[in-house]
Amino acid sequence: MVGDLARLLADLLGAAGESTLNRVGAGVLSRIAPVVHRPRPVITIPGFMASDGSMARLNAFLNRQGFKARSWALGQNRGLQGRSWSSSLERIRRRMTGQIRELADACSAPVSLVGHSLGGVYARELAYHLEDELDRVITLGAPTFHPYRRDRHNQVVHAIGRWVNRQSATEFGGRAGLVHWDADHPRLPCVAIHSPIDGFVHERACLIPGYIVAQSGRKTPRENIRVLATHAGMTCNVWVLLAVADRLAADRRNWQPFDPRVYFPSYLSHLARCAYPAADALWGDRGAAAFVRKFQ
Amino acid sequence: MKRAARTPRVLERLYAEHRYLSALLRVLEDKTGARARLKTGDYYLLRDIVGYVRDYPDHVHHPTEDLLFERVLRKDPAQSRIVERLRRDHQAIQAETRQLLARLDELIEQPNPARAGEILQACRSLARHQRTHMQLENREAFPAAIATLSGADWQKIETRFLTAEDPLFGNVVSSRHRLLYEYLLDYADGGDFWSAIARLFSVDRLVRIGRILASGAADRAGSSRAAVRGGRRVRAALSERISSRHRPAAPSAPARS
Repeated sequence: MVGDLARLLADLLGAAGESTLNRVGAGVLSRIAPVVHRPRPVITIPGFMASDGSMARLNAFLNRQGFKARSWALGQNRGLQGRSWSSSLERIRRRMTGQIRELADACSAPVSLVGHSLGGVYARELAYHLEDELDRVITLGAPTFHPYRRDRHNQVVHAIGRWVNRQSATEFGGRAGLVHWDADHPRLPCVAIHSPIDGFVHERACLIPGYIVAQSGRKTPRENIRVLATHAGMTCNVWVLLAVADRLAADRRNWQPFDPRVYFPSYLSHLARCAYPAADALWGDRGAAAFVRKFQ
Repeated sequence: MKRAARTPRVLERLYAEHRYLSALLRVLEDKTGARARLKTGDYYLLRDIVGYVRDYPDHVHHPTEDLLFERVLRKDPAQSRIVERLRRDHQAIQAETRQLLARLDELIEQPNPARAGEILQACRSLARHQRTHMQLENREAFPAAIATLSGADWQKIETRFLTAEDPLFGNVVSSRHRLLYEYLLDYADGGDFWSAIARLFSVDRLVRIGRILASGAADRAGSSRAAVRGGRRVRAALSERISSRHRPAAPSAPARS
């Protein structure tokens, strides 16, 4: 618990640094990030206990790049206040459906959802019901809740969540859990942005499992982007913002994986590798063969 | 009669499936050991393991073996004792699996700690029976099949069996078994925070980070001199790379799906 408290504080401290970097580097970031020439609607969903204001930097940045971004307008995300996860999500879905349709009509284009942390969990679950209204979903450090795999999320955050919502996060989703989409359903692109230094949730629980990425087709791309960012600072971290803008601008019919090197001159390519570290050595998905070799 | 020159593909796959099942039973045994203290999530795990045993080994693997044994018996009636025993085993294991699955479902619907002990006992018993059965097949029945059946016999069995894909250990994981699959990957990985940290700072990884930093420093030393000389040219080239990457997406919004 003490270690988790230290992780939490370090994360918040790091987020303050990222916020400062955002203020200093906003101009440069806007110049290098992609710009769209026709407004594309985006709704951003804040994380647990965060309000619309927490998405302000992200929205402002996206609006500068030509998107039409706005927050979910449901105020502070108080988590799962209902008796069960499904009824709570149903309530949010009812309230968001109107917003999504209205924005889609106003822009004559389907809406993209960008959700931070628990907001990303909402975005993923909403997409099951609103597949036709949505264009793509991007999650920022959004965990999954497996019904029996033990993911070591931060216990302090876990305890706060249990106290506020009167239920444990491991009970979310019940027997089916709240896991990433299958490779072919919903038929939307999904991008999971996750960080190795996330102090709130376990990185492995945020990324899309390797076998699902491998099985996903061209029409339903699934992509992981690993970024060096704190959990609390993901909505203002310049590397995350760059990745979000790139993935929102990406052509859905000709999906190419995110390549940060195009934004860096060659003499700064090592910076790209530091900001977007490769995920090969950590939580490698070696398939069931590794399991069988070890336990047969 | 022409004998199969090497281990037939069907038999290779049956052996492989025994290895898969053996590994899975290990998890079942670990989770239901004498000192096990199960939580709600653990019952979901047991349910999923037994559910897989019902879905694939009972519905595809055992019927294939029955087909194999039937042909062995037709060619060599002297094998009747072992074949009859294995057939009876299949029926008994299928019934045991069905019953255990029903009891697990009932326990999940209506939790009852008083009944947990007997469920754990039943899980251990299923694992024990499966293991004894597989050992007998590996040791006696499969070698006898190799000695008895011809290439044509194997071909006929293959057409029935090799089209069915294992939903957990096959090439494509079915959505029905994906929770168990993800759990098993984690189980093999160690999966806890400290093992992840140990991997993060493994010698291999540190060497790789060192190489990246060294190449980055070399790049910077070479390129920054060039950049000073041609800063404008670099900026222009960079903006061209970015705009060309997003050019297809820019003119029109993506179609509604």
